[in-house]
Amino acid sequence: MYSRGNFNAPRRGVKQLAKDKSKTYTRIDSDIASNYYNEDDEEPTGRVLPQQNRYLSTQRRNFNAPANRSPPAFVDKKAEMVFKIKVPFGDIKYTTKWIIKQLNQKIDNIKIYLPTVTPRGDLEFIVRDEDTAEAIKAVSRRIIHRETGDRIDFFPRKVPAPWLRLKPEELKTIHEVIDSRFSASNRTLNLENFGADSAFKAKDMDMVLTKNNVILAVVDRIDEKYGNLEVLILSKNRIRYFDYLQSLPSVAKFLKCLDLSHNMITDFSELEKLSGLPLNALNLEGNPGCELISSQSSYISTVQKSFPRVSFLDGAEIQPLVSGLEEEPTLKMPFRAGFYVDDNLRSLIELFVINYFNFYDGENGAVTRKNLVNAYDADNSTFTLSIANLRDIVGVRYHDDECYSSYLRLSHNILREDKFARNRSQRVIKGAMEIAVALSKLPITNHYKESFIVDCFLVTKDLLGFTVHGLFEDGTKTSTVPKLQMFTRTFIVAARGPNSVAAISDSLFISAALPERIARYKALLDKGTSSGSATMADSFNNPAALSTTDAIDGLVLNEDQQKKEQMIAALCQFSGMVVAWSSKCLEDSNWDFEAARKIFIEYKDRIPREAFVVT
Amino acid sequence: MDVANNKLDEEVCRDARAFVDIFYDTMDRKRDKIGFLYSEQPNLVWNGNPFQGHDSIRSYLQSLPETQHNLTSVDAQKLPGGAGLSESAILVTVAGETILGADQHAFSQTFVLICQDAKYKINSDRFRYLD
Repeated sequence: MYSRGNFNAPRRGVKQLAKDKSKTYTRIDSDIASNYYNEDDEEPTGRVLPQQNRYLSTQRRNFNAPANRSPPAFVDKKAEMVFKIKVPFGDIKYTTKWIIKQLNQKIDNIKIYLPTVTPRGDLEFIVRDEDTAEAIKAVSRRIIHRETGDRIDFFPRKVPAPWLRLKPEELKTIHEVIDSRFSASNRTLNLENFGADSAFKAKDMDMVLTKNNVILAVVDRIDEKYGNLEVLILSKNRIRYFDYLQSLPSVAKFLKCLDLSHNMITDFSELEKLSGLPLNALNLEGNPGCELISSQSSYISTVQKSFPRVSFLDGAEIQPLVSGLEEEPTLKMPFRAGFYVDDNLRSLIELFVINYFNFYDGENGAVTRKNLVNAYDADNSTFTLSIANLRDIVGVRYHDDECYSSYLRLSHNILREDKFARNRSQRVIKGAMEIAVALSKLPITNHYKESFIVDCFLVTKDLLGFTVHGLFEDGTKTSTVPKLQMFTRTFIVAARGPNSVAAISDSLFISAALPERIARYKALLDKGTSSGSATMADSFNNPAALSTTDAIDGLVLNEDQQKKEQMIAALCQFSGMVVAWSSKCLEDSNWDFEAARKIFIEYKDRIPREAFVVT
Repeated sequence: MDVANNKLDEEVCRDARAFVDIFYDTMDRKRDKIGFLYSEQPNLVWNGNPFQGHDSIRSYLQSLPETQHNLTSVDAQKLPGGAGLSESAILVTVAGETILGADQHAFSQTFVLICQDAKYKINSDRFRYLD
């Protein structure tokens, strides 16, 4: 979905891409309903058609594609196209349950349909939208099985769905019936004898829950509107198998009570397909399977194998296998956006970073970087860099030999200490002058500020330490497609008299990056943006923290730069946007404050929330 | 001057190398001992989540799934003395790949080490996935 080319458009930053991506998700999500529609129906809506045409045309292509010469004997032209994912030997090697759990952890809102095991032990399952299929493809070989050390392969393939589309009228009626049977006060959905509902009878529809497409529509409706469901009554529906209910556990995460009484369940091991539902109460009375129970204890253990928290079975109290709150190890923290401790430090750090890279970047880097002499402490400052390819791309050559060798000359990677054991001091640059000279000799660069993630990890009375992670390009442009590389750069800055800080330490790491890694980095960036910055400023309960107001003006700047800073500050105040966005806005309007102000007024409704200072 | 600097860098690299060897070995194989590597008042920023103090860091790290770290790059600098840290503080920046539970990620990590009881201890720790 991401391509390097996207970076060509100057204003389409990563955040914008993230937004676009979420837009496509919404679009497809809201259209999933359309997958039921029969295109021959009298009243198709305009919104639905393109999607269906897409399915149809792909289907035709598949027919012609030599690789897919033997399609099923009949393919209903009206069938919904879905993605069948295959994991070779997935079940016998790693177990279906484990794989599904991994996918649920890695991919938000993934809905897995019909997991099945082939005779030789492959796991196959279905997902219904292309984005999910893409997301699964992206994690292929990225999930590692600890016991075997294997990387899990996922092979998606587009196939017609094994269920029939419902007509819009049918779907609408199903929704009406479900909605009429939901009681919001006790979060109960009563679908007893669903097919016999008078609404179906009146329209002469046969919408029984034993039909695959009907039960799927029910699960989808629960997902769409009743995710907080606590009680689900499915009694008297002649249900025998749960294959099409298998996504219920990922949809009804709060379901406490499930009534399956008076159905056709003969084999209670079918219940495993619903395992993961946090049930307290389960009713299986009146099923043929009850006749086959050999002993009460084996019955209870069969049930508790899938629902260990069940304490009411068929109305009688039993001892739950597990009690207390759900204790999923939620300690693994989410990937968050940059951490700045507090807003004062955030302004200070952002100002430093923006100023720094404004001097650092650009065609005239060799000249402008000399100004960075002001960014470092005159004597007590050190700069080192290290260039190394991350393990999976060890053999990949840096895109530009000249760039590479100028980094390599300075590389202070102590895992390769043998390379510089004789001339160490040449690779540890000390003092502001020396550093500025060394920096001006490095390849010219362009850092993508919208890709930056900044973490502040050190705050003392006099020192502030932070790391900038991000993407950049370097060397002379040879093609219009930017060749993005990855960097992390750690600064430790010290207060230097009033109104100013200076770096005492600067440590740069550079790695070549393949498009796949860039795409993964951008996906992480999205994740960080959506989970936001940590706000536990009190966690850094440090009374002696750097007096930020004294240091807030950052670097000592030349006059021109000072003017720019004033403009940024003024725009921040006017717009409420953070420094980075105000600065970008001014930059885009050639540092014409009035113009920037107008642009802001014109576009302010479209500016993402993260652009604004949190109040 | 060069001779002195060479010698200084040699020491810094030696200490940093010894530290990362111990740190990742402890993390990957002896997690229960990880607390010993942190100073008395450490802080950690893990993928943007801050942890303050010995106990919260130790219990968080111990709660993580099994890990395996493979390092690609280690860089080290001596920090100037008298800057609010101990005289012999060093900055260590690491990049590599980690397998955490069933997840694989490239990562970047920074340590500020200070000298306590004649041993290097972690004062600040920053960890973040790169993909």
